[in-house]
Amino acid sequence: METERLDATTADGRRVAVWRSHGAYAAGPVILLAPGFCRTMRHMGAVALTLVQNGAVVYRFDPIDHIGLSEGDVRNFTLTGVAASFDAVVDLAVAREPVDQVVILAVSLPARPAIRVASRTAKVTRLVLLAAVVDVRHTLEAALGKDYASWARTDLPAEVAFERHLIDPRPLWDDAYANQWADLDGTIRDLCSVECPVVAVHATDDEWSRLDDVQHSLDRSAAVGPRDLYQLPFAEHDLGGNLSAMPLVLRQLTLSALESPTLETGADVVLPELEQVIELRSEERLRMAGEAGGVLTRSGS
Amino acid sequence: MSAFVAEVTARVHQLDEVAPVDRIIFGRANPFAIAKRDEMALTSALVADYVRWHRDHNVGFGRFVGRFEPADGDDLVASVPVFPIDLFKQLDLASVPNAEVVRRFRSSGTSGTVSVVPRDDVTLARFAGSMRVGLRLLEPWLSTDELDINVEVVSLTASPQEAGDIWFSYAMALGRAFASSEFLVQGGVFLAEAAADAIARHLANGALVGVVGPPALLMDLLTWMGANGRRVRGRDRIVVLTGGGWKRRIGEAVEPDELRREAARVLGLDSLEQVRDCFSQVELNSVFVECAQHRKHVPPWVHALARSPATLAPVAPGTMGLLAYIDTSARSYPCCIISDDFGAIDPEPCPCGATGTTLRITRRVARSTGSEGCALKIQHALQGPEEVDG
Amino acid sequence: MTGPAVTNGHAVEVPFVVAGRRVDGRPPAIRHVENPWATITIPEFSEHMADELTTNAEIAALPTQEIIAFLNRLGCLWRTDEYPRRRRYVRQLQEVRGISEPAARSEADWISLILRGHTRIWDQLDVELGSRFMLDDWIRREETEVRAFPRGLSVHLLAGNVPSAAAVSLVRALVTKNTVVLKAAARDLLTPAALALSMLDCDPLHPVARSVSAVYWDRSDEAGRALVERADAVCVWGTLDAVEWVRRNAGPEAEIVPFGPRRSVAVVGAGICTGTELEHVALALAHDVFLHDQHACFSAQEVFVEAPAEPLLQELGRAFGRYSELLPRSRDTIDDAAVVSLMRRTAEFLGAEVDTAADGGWTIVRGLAPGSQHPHGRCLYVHEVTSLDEVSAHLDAYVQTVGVAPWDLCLAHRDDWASRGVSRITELGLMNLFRPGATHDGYYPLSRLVRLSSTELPSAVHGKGVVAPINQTERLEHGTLVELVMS
Repeated sequence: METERLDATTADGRRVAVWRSHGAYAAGPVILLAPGFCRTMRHMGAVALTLVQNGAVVYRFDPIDHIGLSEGDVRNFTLTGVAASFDAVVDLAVAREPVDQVVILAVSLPARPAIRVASRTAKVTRLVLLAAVVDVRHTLEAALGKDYASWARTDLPAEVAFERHLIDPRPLWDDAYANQWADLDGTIRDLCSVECPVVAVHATDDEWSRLDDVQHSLDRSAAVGPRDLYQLPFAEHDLGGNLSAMPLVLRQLTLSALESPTLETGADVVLPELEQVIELRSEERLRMAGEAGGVLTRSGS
Repeated sequence: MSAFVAEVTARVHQLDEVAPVDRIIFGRANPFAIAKRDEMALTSALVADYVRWHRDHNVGFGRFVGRFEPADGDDLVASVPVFPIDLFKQLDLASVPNAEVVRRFRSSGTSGTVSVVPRDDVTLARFAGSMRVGLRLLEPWLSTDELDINVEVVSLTASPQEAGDIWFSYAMALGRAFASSEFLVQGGVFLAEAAADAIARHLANGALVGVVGPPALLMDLLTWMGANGRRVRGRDRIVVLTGGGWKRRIGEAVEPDELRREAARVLGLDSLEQVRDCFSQVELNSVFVECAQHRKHVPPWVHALARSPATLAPVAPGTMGLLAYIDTSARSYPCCIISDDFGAIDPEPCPCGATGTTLRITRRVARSTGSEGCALKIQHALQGPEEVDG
Repeated sequence: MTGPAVTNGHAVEVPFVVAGRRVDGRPPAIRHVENPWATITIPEFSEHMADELTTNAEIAALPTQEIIAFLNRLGCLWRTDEYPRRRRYVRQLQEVRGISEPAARSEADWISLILRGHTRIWDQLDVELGSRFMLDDWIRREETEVRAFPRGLSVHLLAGNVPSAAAVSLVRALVTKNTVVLKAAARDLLTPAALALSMLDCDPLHPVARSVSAVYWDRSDEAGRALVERADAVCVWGTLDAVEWVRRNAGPEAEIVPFGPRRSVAVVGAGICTGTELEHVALALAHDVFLHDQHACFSAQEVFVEAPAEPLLQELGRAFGRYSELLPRSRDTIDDAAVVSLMRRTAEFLGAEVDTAADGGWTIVRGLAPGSQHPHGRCLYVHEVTSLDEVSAHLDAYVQTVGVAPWDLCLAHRDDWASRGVSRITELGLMNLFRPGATHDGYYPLSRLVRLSSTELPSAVHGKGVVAPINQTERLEHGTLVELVMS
């Protein structure tokens, strides 16, 4: 897999860092990958590698106002910022590749803005959602332990910690109310405007994003376009950390994202070996540190 | 009159279930927080399924299990027959087709006398998962949430490329699956100065530093740093994890507490709790990490028991015996093993608060080798090299 | 190996004997050697002690008969329990090594037999050196007279697996007039000291007693290594590793007499079919398995049985039961017990039939080779063969003794087996008995413990096949050197 660094620019001129990955003879679809909240594009390495090994060209990116290589700080994170990042990368991909449309594969929280992006552009040909967050308020409550959405704006703390990252909940709160990100109904409304196929791969034991909510939102929008839900029994929200379930998840994501006549069954999908994935993680940690300006030299890693 | 309109819904598909053992290894819940009664039930269920699966997929193991029908009233888990790890030196014990075997891992040692253990991707993934689970015992010094974000591992081992099929080195290097790692043994040479440089650099960058490696090399590092004026003030930003024992350098072994004190002194640690040891072996597929009380905790997917050296029957907790394990995380081979180690299961719950069986490993079985007739090769693993007289 | 004295178990002090002088341990120059049942306190070996261990010219000058007579007196002391040191030795073998009383008595009996057997020692000298007078006089051999001289300082690194082997090594070195340093094994600190002390009991001023030392050091001890380096002969009983260590550390001119790793097997032919014969053979086999708890190099570890094996196997259970009473097994360490249990379980995994005594005291495994590590502990591997011709494929130079029944099998197969590397073939039941003339690991040890000198006849004696005085200058001048020997 060859990976190059690109930059996209949002409508308001902010820089979005992108890794474009491809194989030797890539002629398949162009797929955008957005990592979960407080993950970076290097955490999507296994998915990118699998898609590339099966013929796709992959654009990974870190949203603005998030951790990673893009502009802004995660303290100021908003879903609108993620949506703007999606828009920028979609435009970049369509401009650079010989395609008019792209597939979006979004994981966890960015699934919500991905749905909105798909609802307002014809450039998205397929939406694949892994562990999709459809009820943002519920997910944030489960992850942060408090339902900040129910608090008065003035009562919000200046910062809350998530996985040791400090986030200012106030711009997030403002954005959620101003742009209807917070509740399940808003997601359903957006999904009802998404005509392209939507595929969700979701764990039955996901406590941060309930399977019922995902199924309900897909059901409610099923008349608009094809909707498929792949349930993964007994798994939880953090599918990325489940190395054992990884082959199953990668196979299904690949089948869903590529939707190719040559990939009719899971047996047709080429999967990377665990050692390849682990090696890639090490390499991309270094790549990211290097691009971030870190002074890292490695001996043998 | 209204026309009947079928409601359109999403098509729902079922993927394969995540295996019960993976739900524990990779789940959010802390496996060391399961109540004792639940843990026993969980382990029993896992073991029953596990033995059945391998019995059906491994002819040799199936035949072996068939020789030991449990009597009425027997504890089903305790009555699962375990086999000596010596068999890994004699047989290919794979329970999966050859095509699924990623590597055949070897114990350290000379050719012909080493264990060879076949592992597939699933088994390897679970081993890596067990490492991550074990690291939960290092909280609050190390948060697993932080692992792939702000942790830099200075590994006093060979890189995975150099490690090849030697399990100890390979296993130590698997930590790079979830933390940035650099390897300071190159071409068989330990680069103490480079390790010291790395520790200092990562501390300066604000990272949490994990120093990981065999105790002998840790001691080498500490000695070098002390002798060269390179002591650091790690405070709460360094954790040290040793593993693999002293092996050929057993003659230089120091007591664990002495090693901890020396590490704390040279690395400027806030607490001796920041230095932990862990245990595994090539035939086992999980890691037992020490808690703050320096007890090694067995995760709930592994059933550990001490067995009588004379009869191999289970002995009571607290009684020394041969340590036996059923490690349900090993898919590619039946891990129903009786080790060469004497030790005991601790009879009381660990005061650290983490649940799960804890055990003490005392020493290796001293063997007198039969093929050497007059010659009696007795190697007390904890007492030093063989005597000239045998 | 070293450590503080234990409060439970027996505490035993064992002195050294240094050049015929008793040396007791005095703190702090002592060390403790622990095993599951006892803590043995011994003196610390020192450079100063090593300096005292030099060749004693007195024994080299002693007539062989005086040495043998002294050994005989010693053996007579060891003959009965009237001798307090024997009583103490038998008791301490039980206390310190866990050996059963009958087996401990058997060890003491063997020590007595080995020391006392003067006629057999003479025969052994005769066979191994060519003449029993060889060490006392010049012996005519064709056109020379030859005499054997001691090598000098002989160091014996013992293995401790068979206690009485210390007596064998000692007697061999003494009857060849060598000064002896018995370096005990950690597992048997008793026997070398008991032997050397009993010499002092016998006559502390006797040159033989003054030529014997019994000490201990561990491998890392530099004084011990230096002693091996200056020894004239080193008898090493032990592992390949031990033998290699001696080869690395002994001096370039030293004679190394290795008794390295060996195993032994039994062969039973189909000719044995009557009940009495079967019982006799089974008991003989049981003896060769049970003696020394199977730790000896001559212990039978495997038996090849010409089909059908079933009748012998049935009889074998009874014979093993009988021998369990005659020679009760030593107390197991947990290590010994574990090794046997693991072996049984391994055999079960591999599909073998495993028959075990109710108390675990013996094991018969059918249908499996022992692999690289025989567990000892009275475990017999039984192989049923359709023809005894199959046996030779399993023999090599690591096989010391093959015990056979019936005896005529020996004549039929000895060429084949010996050419494979087998050192000895005996009747079953006698595998431990080295008769005079027997080889030990392929050679005669006494011949390695002496240096031979020859005096050769003068020119006045023509010599066989030479018909004129030997005048080489004349023959060179005439170009007739080639005619020195008649065509």
